[in-house]
Amino acid sequence: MFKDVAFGQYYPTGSVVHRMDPRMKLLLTIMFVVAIFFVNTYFGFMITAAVLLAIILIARLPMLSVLKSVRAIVFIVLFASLVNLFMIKGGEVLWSWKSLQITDQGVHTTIKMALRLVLLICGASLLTLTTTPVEVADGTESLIKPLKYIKVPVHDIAMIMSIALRFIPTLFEETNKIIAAQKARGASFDTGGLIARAKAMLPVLIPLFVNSFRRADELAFAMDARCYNATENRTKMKVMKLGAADYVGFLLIAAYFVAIMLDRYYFGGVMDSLIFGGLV
Amino acid sequence: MPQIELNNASYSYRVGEGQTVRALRGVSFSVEKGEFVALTGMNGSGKSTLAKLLNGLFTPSAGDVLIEGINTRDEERTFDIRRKAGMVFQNPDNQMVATVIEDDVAFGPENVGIPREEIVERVDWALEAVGMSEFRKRSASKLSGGQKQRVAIAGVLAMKPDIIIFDESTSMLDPEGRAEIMEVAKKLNATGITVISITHNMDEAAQADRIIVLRKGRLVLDGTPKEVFASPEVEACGLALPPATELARMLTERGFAFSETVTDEDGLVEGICAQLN
Repeated sequence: MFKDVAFGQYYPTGSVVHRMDPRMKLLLTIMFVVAIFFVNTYFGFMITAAVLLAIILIARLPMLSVLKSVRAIVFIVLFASLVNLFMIKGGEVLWSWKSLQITDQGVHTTIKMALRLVLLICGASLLTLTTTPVEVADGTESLIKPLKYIKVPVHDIAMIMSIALRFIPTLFEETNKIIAAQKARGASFDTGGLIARAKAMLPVLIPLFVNSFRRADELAFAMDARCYNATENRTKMKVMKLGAADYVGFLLIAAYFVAIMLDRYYFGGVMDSLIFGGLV
Repeated sequence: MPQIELNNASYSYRVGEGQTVRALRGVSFSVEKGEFVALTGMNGSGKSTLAKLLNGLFTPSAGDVLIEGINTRDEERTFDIRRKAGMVFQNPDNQMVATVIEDDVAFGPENVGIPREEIVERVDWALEAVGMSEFRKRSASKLSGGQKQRVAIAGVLAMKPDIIIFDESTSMLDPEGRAEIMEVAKKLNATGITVISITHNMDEAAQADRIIVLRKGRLVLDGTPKEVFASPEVEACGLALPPATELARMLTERGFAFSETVTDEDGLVEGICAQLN
């Protein structure tokens, strides 16, 4: 019922994208997310979709796995679309009823917003589909390393992240055990209203909390026994190295970034009128 | 010089305002390199406290603990002691730091600043020694209890220790897991590593070279399994004898005579056969 958190959404195919340096993948994802907020033409969305499609093909991911992550935001997209559709006024009125009206600008803005959200989630899910959470944590640690010069405890943050990842399945398993134990004593978790149900969770949360403290205590002993110290003397077994694929990936996303900027600030919708003619 | 030396070591901890519990009272013994020692006693006898004194997790309230001549009070050498004396804890889930198995095994060597290439070698070697090489890239949460403990042992081995302390490491495992861990412990002992096994399972203790029994924080018995099981004091310590020993004792009461104290099934069978001839 609970997929192993170590691999999260990870869809292993061993492709070149999977083998890329997690730091580069994080960086490129950030670049992509920034770029997509600058997209304001249909041509721009076409480029974005093409780039995503190319990555999906190279990573040998099934389309379904990418679309699955979109499913999670379907309601947000629908809701935001409805609000946008009726709220944005400008241009030609296409339909009206009492105080409600839909304008052509509203329609365009709505479509663009929906496309932006969907493509954004697709892009972000490419990171989690091709990178394990542990790699993401390691990559993040490495990327935020410069912050230690302004006294940010980078190593501690990274340790906390990796221990949290490590203990999610353990605590989840424990929660299930406690729920079963409380059920065996007659507790009921699925009757009554919202408040009654929330209250029913209390006998689960308290033992879970107490046990977590005990675990933390034992883990601290175990770490001490293995000479844990947060000093500079630590070494790392895994060293991240940039490879050819990382540079190629960077060039691809950088080119995409430039294309989006050109489309927005230089061509400014010329491509849209060329392709779609009078439609836009 | 003995490898482990306790001189009149005591330990007490506070349980509230001004109240202290004396977990250990003047315990002295020494262990030579390569021994396999079982440390046993009832709950609250102080055996786990004693284990934590052996690698400097606790320092004695009075008396001294020396590991290869280094006093555990010497804070500057704490890491030296912990590298020499590794510890495998009771709960397999609460001693694993990293999600991926090989990362967890590498944790100790990373902490003490071993160069990268050597860490890789050590991790390979340690996982091989406990028979977990094929799992190295997997996630720890999918393993059985026995497998998790084997990974924990590999994590200790990667530090190249001279001593491994098992702090009730088999008590949360099923019989199969227990057997796995005992087998690994014996194998490591055969390579010259001193093993200190804290346990209340007498079948396990019977497999050691030497058994030390604690009662209310004091050392009451110290000898080979045969000597300890033959002692009348064993039951006063609240310890259940291994089934074979218990059976032999009952038979003795009914007129059987065993030439020596029975510690396992083989001994029992031999003793009975000798009687029948």
